[in-house]
Amino acid sequence: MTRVISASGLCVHLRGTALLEDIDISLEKGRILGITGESGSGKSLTALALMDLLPGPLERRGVISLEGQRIDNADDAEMSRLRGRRISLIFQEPMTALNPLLPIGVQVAEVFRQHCGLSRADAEKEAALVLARVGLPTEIIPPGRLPDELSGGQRQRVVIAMAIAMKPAVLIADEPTTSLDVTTQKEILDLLRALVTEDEMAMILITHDLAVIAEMADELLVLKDGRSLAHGPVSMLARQSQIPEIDDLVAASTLPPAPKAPARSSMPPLLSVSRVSHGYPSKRGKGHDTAGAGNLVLSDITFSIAPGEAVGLVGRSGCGKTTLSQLILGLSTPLSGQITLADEPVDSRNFPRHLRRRIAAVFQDPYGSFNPRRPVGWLVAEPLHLLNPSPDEKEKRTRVREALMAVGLDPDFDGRLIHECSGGQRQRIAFARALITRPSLIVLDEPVSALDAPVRKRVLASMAETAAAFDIATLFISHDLSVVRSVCPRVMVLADGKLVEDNATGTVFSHPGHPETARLVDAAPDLGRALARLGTDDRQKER
Amino acid sequence: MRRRSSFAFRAGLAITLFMVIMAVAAHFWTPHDPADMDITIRLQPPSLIHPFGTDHFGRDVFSIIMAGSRITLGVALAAVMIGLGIGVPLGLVAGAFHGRIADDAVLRANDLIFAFPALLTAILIAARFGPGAYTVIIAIGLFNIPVFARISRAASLPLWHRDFIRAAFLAGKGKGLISVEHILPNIAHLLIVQASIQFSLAILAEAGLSYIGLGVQPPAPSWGRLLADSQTMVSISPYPVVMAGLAIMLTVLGFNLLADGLKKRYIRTREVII
Repeated sequence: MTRVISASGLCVHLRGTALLEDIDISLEKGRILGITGESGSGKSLTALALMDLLPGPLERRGVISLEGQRIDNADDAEMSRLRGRRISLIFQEPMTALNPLLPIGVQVAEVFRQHCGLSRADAEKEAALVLARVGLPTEIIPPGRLPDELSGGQRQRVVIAMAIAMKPAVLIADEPTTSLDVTTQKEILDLLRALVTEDEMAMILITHDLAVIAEMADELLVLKDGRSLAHGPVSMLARQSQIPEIDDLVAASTLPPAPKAPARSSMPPLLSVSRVSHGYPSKRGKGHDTAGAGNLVLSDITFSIAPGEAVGLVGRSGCGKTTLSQLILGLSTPLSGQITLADEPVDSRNFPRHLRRRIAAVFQDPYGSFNPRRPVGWLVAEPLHLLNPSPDEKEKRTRVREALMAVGLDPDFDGRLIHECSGGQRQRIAFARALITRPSLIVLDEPVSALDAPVRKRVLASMAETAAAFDIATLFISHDLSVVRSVCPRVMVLADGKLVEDNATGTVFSHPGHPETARLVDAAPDLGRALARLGTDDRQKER
Repeated sequence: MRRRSSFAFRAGLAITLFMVIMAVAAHFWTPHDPADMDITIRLQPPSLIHPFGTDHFGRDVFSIIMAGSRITLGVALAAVMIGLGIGVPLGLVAGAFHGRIADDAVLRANDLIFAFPALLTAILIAARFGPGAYTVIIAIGLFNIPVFARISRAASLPLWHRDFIRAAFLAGKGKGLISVEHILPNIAHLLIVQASIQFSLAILAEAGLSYIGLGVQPPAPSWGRLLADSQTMVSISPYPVVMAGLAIMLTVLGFNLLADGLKKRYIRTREVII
């Protein structure tokens, strides 16, 4: 078979410093190359270098061929002609890749008008066909919709439609599913694989998630600090490889199930949620029909959490997870039903400090959870505002340093500014902030979704250990069952605002009690499962 | 790119500092008494004794400009302070109570002030309280309030949805304390830039109001009045008009460059390499 794209000795330099060194890539028709590595290892840089889209000061060296033709010395006009036509790119963030002011049909049609010079009407006809191919048929999603009117997964489908419109020979997907929940991730990955087979494209899939690579890719390239650490068939993940870093990577991406929890049913519940329903006022009416069924986000939710218990709450995006967490945290008030914490009602309009002190939260986005203008010490100490009397400065400082140490950070972090900290460090700091008032319950709203696999594992372990050490109950909210499984012995599943499952995690995995649960179990990226499959494939080939 | 922005910033800072030093120095010393008339030396071209020449009353133009800078900068500073002091709290309240009555009240009050011609208001205030520095300060200050209120409100709205605000609510803090501790520091850079823009506008406005006679009254020196007084003589001696105009232009330019430099320094879009 012919090589569709190849690069040899690919280097990228910034003012004499090598950011990418001696990368070799070679890919045949219909094959998928997975590129993985820690953040900052040069994954995205490789994609941009292949597309000749490097930002100004970066210099590229090496030989790149596309369909037997050298493109590393092609001029700008030639590259513009190739980009989108023979080699395409899908970015991570579907929201920024689309123009929010143009209907999706027009944006896809633009590709045809640009590359084939079709008339507006013809281009829009072609666009409708491509949109149907990626699962957005005109009957269901009219091409007149704006990107804002689509879900994250649907937007990513539009981006994919634009990328494959011209049936390129090479498709580069840079973290195409990282900002999506796992259920949508699976749908998008299935779509990409189907397109690769149908069009016989070569695809380069860049992701930090080894499970995705193991499921999707034929070949694997592992990068570390801009160098190639390993390059070969993806089945090398399944064997004991000769390279310790790869074994480490596999180990870090494997999340062991949480141990069974001691029975706590005899204890009185710490948090009790009974028959809670919530919705948002509709925009048109002046907001009195809030109980109308159409805009109910949560309906009739009932559950309880025992002191010190770790409970998972799982559901796909838009199922009402975050709304429920807001209600539990007392940031808004449910339309009906009651939430009690240690037998006292949680009410956002009248939330006494002694009660508020007992509940804390860690949010999803490590970059948005902190005021960028305050030092870490100030940020971690903020909840001490709830203590009466508020401790003095010296006492505050001691407590901050204790909290930072409890989450495995150097206590000297208190003087840093938040932008000096990595994503993993930020989530530890968020956890320290949650710990500092010694609460009884911490709500963790997707605390590791924004982190890379190895960092994710360390942060998860540290959070679980610390919570256990202080006997703090945790409500762990996530779209990813495999993450929840590693920290919570009990898991609840939320689907369309209803609680459809509440059971021991092991049982949920082995005997899903609801179709939505089965979907979530199936979608959860599971490296172990994928590796086992790779292992058997490999052995069969050897025979 | 970098270099040029920092050059503009430095030039603006230098001009601004020079003007401030001149204004402070004028408080203690001017080469001549700016009110001292000597009809025998009227409308002289620049010389060593009178570096910017003399006007039609024989007053030293350099001394008038020095002394006038004090009033110009003082009035502009006071007017911007009024805008900041009243506009920012109003904007923060409107942002904190987005969509409620307080927000609407602030917005409608802003519309009201914006809809009213500034000059007409200045004339009304002057008619009621008489012309003078305070009239000018209040008139300009009044029109700075909605500018700062709007920018504070608009900049604070997206911040209220950030997670660190939710964390502050969880820490038991109210909207007032959150506005001061979290919102204000995160919009301060915008306010600083806007303040330097408003400062240059206030200087122009002060010169304009003095020009039509609503500003400080004779014999107090002022750039706008110097311009008005000597424009009839421009064919005989252009120096007083040109010098007054240059002083106004240079100061406005200085503050604009400063605003530009501050903007590039503080409101840069995040630099993206990868």
